[in-house]
Amino acid sequence: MNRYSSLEMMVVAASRELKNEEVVFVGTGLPMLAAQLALYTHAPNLVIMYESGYIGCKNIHLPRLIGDIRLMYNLAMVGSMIDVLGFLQTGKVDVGFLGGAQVDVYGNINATVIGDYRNPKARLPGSGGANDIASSANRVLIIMNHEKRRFPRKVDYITSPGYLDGSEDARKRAGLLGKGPSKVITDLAILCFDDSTHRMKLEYVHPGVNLEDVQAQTDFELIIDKVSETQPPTDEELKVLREQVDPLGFYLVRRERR
Amino acid sequence: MGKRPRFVTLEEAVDIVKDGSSIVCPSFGYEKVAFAFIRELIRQRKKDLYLYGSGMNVDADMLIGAGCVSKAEIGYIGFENIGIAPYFRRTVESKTLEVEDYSNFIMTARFFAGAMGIPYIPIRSGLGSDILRYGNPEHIKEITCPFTGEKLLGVRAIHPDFAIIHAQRVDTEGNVSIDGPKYDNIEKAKSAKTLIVTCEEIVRSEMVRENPESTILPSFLVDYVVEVPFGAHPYACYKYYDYDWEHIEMYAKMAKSPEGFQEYVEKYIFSVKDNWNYLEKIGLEKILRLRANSSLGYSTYYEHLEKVGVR
Repeated sequence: MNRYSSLEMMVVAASRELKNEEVVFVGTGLPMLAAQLALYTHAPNLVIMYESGYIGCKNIHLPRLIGDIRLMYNLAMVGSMIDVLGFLQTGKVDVGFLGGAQVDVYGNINATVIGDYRNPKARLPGSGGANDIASSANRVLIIMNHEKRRFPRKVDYITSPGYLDGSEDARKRAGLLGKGPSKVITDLAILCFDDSTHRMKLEYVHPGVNLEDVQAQTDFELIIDKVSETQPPTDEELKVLREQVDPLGFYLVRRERR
Repeated sequence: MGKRPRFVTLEEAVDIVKDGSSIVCPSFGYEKVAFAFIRELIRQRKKDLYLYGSGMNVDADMLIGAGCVSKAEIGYIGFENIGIAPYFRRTVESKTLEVEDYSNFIMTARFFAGAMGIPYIPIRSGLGSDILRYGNPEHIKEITCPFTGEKLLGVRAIHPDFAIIHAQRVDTEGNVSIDGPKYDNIEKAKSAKTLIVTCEEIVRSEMVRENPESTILPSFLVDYVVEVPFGAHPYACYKYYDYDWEHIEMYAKMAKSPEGFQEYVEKYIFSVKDNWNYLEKIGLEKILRLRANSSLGYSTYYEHLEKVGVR
């Protein structure tokens, strides 16, 4: 079964970042898929929650959106938005898991607008719960396709705060509770952030990807020091992803065709 | 027992909403949305509505596309995994729709403040971001906690002229009872000056009184009740019916061009006599296939459809 797509590599790599018994607040899109995969493989005690109020999801049919009533089945609890987005602010959520349109050198995410906010080239949907999750979850995982236009030096609009301008304690000074983004998982690589400069740093490249490929698809200079190769997806991970998590290819097949 | 709401028709309820009103019509999760009400707003060609919401989807895009909305304060308008909301995008880019961008929690907290009768509430979202930088300082503002000195975001209460929510059932007294997620529907409902509730069915009061934990709003907070079976279509109503994914995808595709959008609203809104006629156009087979499986609360029609390769 060893053949796999770059999308599957990305989802598998992202799922491995979630640890068993963590509480993860999941945003819409690929984070949903990766969280489900983690739950069905190495993290059976992962608590998956969504801003729609669902907590402790162990659904049997894949949700197509974060409010999908498929998540009601086999669910531990359904709260309200004021409940779940409210207690996110107490610091009891380990991981926030987000996608977006752009991410910059300091991990700030844009999901609102391409170009000038008041004179937009392209208008996108906006924050949803992403700003809330990025503000207050203890750490944040970002999953995004690796393309130059998606990795600008500075995002056009900070929808969800990363390390802001990268200066020391920028998040703390802004009044933010969470510690900020920890990893960016793409279809080419896994990136993290330098402890002192908060700049994005290349950590792993996926099998078959060169360092140059990653830098070429990034519009700012990555910190490249010691880089390892990501473990390819195991047969078990691929089997669960294809047969149990997304048997209809809703995310895996449709996205590839776009 | 207090004041009882008035039980009216869909046309009568929509007629109460005058041009220029501010409205909130909870639309989280493609579920329990007063979509028949939205269609009737479009059919009655309402103008200059001021739209409030947190996460919004097809319903908001349709209202905007039909030219009913002139300003919106939002957390999100998009179709999640289907993509961008085409009319929201087009009208913001052409500056025919004015938008204030917030996060879902900022909006939810603003409705919560409205629902509690307080002028604002402090939260921890928005700080350091461009939501704060570009947000209207009359609506969100960085503040200092008078007790701890912490930086917080003060978010102002919202009191829309109308909230329109959908529920599984309302009893003959006007108590509103639901199954499944509440999202921020209760806060939105309580924040409004006038509350209109559309429902799948009007039931005997004894039924609601047997399960008072499912009641989300007591009768005296409700102003108008409308019975509209399948009133959330093409969205879902938990334990009653599922979302109509094909229909939602069809809208998303058609709304990409003004001609397609016109064709859609002509077929499903303007040429439609009433909600029964709308459901006839959706078709008996589809309606029956979308009925919730009673062991799951939703339908597996699409799961089965896609398995046999119709996709």
